[in-house]
Amino acid sequence: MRLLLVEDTVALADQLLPLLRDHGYAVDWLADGRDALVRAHDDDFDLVILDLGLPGLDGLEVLRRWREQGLSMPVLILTARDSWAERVDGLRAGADDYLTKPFHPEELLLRVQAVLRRSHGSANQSRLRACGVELDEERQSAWLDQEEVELTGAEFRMLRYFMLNPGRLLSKIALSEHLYDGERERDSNVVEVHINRLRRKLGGQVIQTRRGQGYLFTGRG
Amino acid sequence: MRSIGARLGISLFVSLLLAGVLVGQGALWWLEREQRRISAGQLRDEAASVLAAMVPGPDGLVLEQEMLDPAYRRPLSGRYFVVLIDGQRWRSRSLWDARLPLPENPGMDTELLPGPDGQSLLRYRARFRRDGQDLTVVVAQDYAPQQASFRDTRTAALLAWVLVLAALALVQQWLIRRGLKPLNAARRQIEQLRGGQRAELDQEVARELRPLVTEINRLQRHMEQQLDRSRHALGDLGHALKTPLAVLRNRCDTELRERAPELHALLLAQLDHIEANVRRALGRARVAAGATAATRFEPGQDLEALADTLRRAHRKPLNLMVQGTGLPPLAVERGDMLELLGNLLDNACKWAAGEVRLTLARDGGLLTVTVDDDGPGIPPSRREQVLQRGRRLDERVAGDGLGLAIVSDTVAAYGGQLTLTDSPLGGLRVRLTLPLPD
Repeated sequence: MRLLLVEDTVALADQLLPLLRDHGYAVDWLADGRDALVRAHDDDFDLVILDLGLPGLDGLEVLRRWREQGLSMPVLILTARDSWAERVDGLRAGADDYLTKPFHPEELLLRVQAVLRRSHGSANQSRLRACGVELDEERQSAWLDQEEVELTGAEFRMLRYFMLNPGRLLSKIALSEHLYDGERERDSNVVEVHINRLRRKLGGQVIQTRRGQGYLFTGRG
Repeated sequence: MRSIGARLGISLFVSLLLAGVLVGQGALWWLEREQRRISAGQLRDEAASVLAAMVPGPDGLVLEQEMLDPAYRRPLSGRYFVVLIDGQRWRSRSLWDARLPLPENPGMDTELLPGPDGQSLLRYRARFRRDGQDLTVVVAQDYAPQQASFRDTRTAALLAWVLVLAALALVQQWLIRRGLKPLNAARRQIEQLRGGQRAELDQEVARELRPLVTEINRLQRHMEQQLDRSRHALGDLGHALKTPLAVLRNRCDTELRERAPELHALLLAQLDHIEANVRRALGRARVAAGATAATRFEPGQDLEALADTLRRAHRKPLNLMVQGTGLPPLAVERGDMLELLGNLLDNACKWAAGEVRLTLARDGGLLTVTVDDDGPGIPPSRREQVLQRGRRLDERVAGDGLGLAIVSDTVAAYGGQLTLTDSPLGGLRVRLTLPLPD
């Protein structure tokens, strides 16, 4: 999952970046509203965490323009503006959720998880379920027939992305774009390596290869 | 202070009455004077005709009766004469047995003399010289018939005058009402402004009113800008305080939870306290307690969005029903109303087992908001305490208590009332009433 964090308070961003990365998200960070406006077009983000009081351009205005320009990625507003009128305005402008500062880090993670699942049409349960596979996002492990399968961080990230897009053809480029942030060098071989490891752990038929097109998560049924 | 309309009406009517009385009185005086002047002319002619009837006889002058007007022969006809000649006194037959006192001075006598048979006599004395003889002729005429006709004329004129006055008064009233129309229109617009149905007063008004209208509009804009500015400043302050609070809290959680649990708990409690106070103070300062056309609460637009916001904020299956989305825009500031409803619903959602119901109803000048939930409720003995706690700022409460505090502040600012009762859904019913300007 590739996230964009738009937050101008460096101290808060310094806390949020490791927190989100620890939970298996690839995160890009921007502090200026004008940069955010442009950047969202360059990369295919799965979710944006947007502060409202931004230098350059107000967050709400950034969000409005994104929606006008046809960008539909989920947006979670994270702001100190906590009046209900502002929350309603935020959702009206096209936000998917609204979290006010100060907040508990766990609350942010839960909201991010909920927004991601909702945007992919999954029900909001304690575990993510798709095609006979269950994923525990808290413990970063998979469950097959009531049996826990341990995953590395990279495997967890990849499996989550597959499970949020079951039955969808995902190219190698798309996968690497959604799993790694802009700072890391992308190597398409890494994708292949992780897919093979997932197959070894969960069964070969879980992820199918379409030659020249990409990969397809079909799970166990 | 009486109304301008009444004052204008009364003073105009009085001036009309005064002018009318003066002109009427003047006309009557002039009319009477003319009448007497004409009468004097007639009497002079009469005296001349009496003189003409005196013809030389064998023993000096004699009065030739045939040449006189027959009225001088008919008794008490109202026309009389007396001729003084050589110490003799000739009287007209019409005088019969009455005596005609003679005026002292020649010419028209200014006084009316009561005559026989209730007559009012106007007298004229003339001196002539005929055939070497000095003679004095006094003629008199009854003025009563003229006076009577004069009185009739005066009565008729007075009646006509009263009618004209009444008609003029009506016309005046109409004119005044028409003249005050712009004032009434402006007053209605100000009412609409207060009720939030209009953003500013119409500038296209009478020249006399324009400075007033311009000034009111300026004040209105100034107030809105001021409110906007202070709200923005508060928002900035909130942002400035809350982000560091978030940083501190997160740092506290990650670094101290395991290593120094006691310090962690202390810091978190104090951070909560600061946060609650900041939030409460910001909430209180944010209450606008009044709406303009641009900031009115529109149930149709905002209620569903608010309900949606709450459904997202509470991660549990909730049946959140909203009644009253069909209401027309209300004269309550949008931010205030959303804050009220948001906090009440947030509380209800927190405690509800699965069902929350919001009902908005307007009854004349009163808006009633009811929030029901199927949660545990609050026992009657504790309700007053909960409301009291909500009103106090220094209480160490966060979360539910705080929301109620903001609600309490806002309701107080609008002069409304807040009550807690049992809900038919099984939990708590919060009911608040807000008076709305018409």
